[in-house]
Amino acid sequence: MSQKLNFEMGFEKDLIQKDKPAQRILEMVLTAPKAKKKGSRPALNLALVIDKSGSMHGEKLVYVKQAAVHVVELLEETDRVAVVAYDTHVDVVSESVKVSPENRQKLVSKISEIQCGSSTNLSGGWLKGGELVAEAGLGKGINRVLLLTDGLANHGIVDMEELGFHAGQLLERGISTSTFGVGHGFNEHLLEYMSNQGGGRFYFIDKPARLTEIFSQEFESLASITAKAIEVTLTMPKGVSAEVMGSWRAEESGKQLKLWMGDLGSGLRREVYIKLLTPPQSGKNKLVFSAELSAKNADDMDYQLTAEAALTYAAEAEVKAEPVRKAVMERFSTVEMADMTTKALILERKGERKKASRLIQQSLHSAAPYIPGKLKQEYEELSDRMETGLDEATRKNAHQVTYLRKQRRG
Amino acid sequence: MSEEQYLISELAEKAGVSVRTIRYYISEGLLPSPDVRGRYSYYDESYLKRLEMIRRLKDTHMPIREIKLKLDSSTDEELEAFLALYERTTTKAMPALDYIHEVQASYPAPRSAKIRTATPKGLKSKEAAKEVFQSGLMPEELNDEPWLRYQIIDGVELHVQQRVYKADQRGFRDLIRRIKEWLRAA
Repeated sequence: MSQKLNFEMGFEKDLIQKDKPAQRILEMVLTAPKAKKKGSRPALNLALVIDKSGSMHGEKLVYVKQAAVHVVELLEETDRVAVVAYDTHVDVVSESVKVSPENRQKLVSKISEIQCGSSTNLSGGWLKGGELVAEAGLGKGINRVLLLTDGLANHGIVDMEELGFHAGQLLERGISTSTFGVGHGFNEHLLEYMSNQGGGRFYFIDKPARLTEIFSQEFESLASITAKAIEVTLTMPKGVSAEVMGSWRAEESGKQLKLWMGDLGSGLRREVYIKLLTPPQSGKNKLVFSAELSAKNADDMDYQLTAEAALTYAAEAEVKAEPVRKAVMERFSTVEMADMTTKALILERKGERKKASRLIQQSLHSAAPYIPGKLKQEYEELSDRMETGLDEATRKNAHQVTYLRKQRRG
Repeated sequence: MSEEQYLISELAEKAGVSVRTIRYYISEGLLPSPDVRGRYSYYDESYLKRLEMIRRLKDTHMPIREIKLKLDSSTDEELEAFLALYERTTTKAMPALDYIHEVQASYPAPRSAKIRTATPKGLKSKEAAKEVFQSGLMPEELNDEPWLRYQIIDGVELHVQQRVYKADQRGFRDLIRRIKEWLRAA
């Protein structure tokens, strides 16, 4: 049985006109292999980084502690966990320890003793978590920092770009980051960005009582990973420009476009869309796109896969006659709408309400044939509400929904 | 004693590359032509070693053409030395822990509200120190130079002036690591 991903690429149409530039959508579909045998899962090397700033006082902290204890109970002796609690100051609640029965008891009791403090040194807490994971040794399993906050980073590194950059650097060195935002006071764009750059996932927890459920969800997704550290390098033909949709981490250098797609759980699919602008024909009859994927399998062994897709130049009539792959366009359109909505939410938050509302209207208009009626209605309502301004709960919910849609996450 | 022999598919699986890549390397002269017996070609252990070397050279962003030249003209020791030099000096090779320490060092830890019991640097007498503590001033506020507080483990901190730390970052990181190990063993 293959322990490798299945990797496919294709367009919505394979023909392009000779004399005009064209927009084409490149769809990359990755399918993770099924886990080798029932009951086997990767060893986990985690750091739980918990916000204990003043605003977490009361119910929130109670539920966070409960959720953290629950994760500790799900882990086994082959796993390691460290716990960090931060406010202005960073406290190592527990160094990274193997989750033996004895250690489990100690962890539970230390977690229950966490008390609230003052401000939020998010970067300090997160880096400390990364440090403990790194010190425990980055072996064959999954190394990840789970960062939770309910507020705004106001100590240490507070710049979103900078935090995202460091998250990306940690990812390249074997440590991924997932982020958890509780309540309505955190910066959803910051947390999402850190998880995108850091190869993990972002979670919005509206009600603190759902914390245990959400932590369990992350644990399940970690336990089912069968393909890790997935990177794809796409070599593009001359004259083509590309835009990666869905906020996946991507870097362009010359003719190469590199994408980081994180980890993928048993049997799951990852669908990533790249909007391409192709030039008119000059010499070659075909535009060939070749991609090289690298990942690690369940035994932590590196492997590479290749895939190729080509667009062929043809006469106008032929191109117009070629049918569009409707399913591809439908999937792409939901992603594009979600991307535009993310941009609109950022504008709305800045106070540019009319601009935000119009952006959604325009995007709906161009995606029209492929967006189902119910979804269209939902976006129209959002666009209307944006004109008068959204409340924080709506912003957070809309952001979460669009995040899941643009990355095609379940 | 016979050496392990692989079919091209087995070699590809073991080396973590595609069959296509192996054929390409052979056509480009990076790998020698294999031993052909009947219908199949057989590859020995030396192919695995060579593929690993090619992978490491590729990581240095060396083009295929140059890799061939390098492989043809260097001994194993020379190749190892070249790769060791590259791997040591690029930031990519800096492991996670060192990278994190670098970032942490550029952001001094915030001060806590607790009063320290040690006599702060620069004060001449215990009386002077008592006065300072009673006034509520923190030791770092006495001189203009910023200090870094590095929490080694719970209850143990290294407090060092930023200027001093920056003068020998590697040395201090090493010191911190050793203190941690010593504390664990104690």
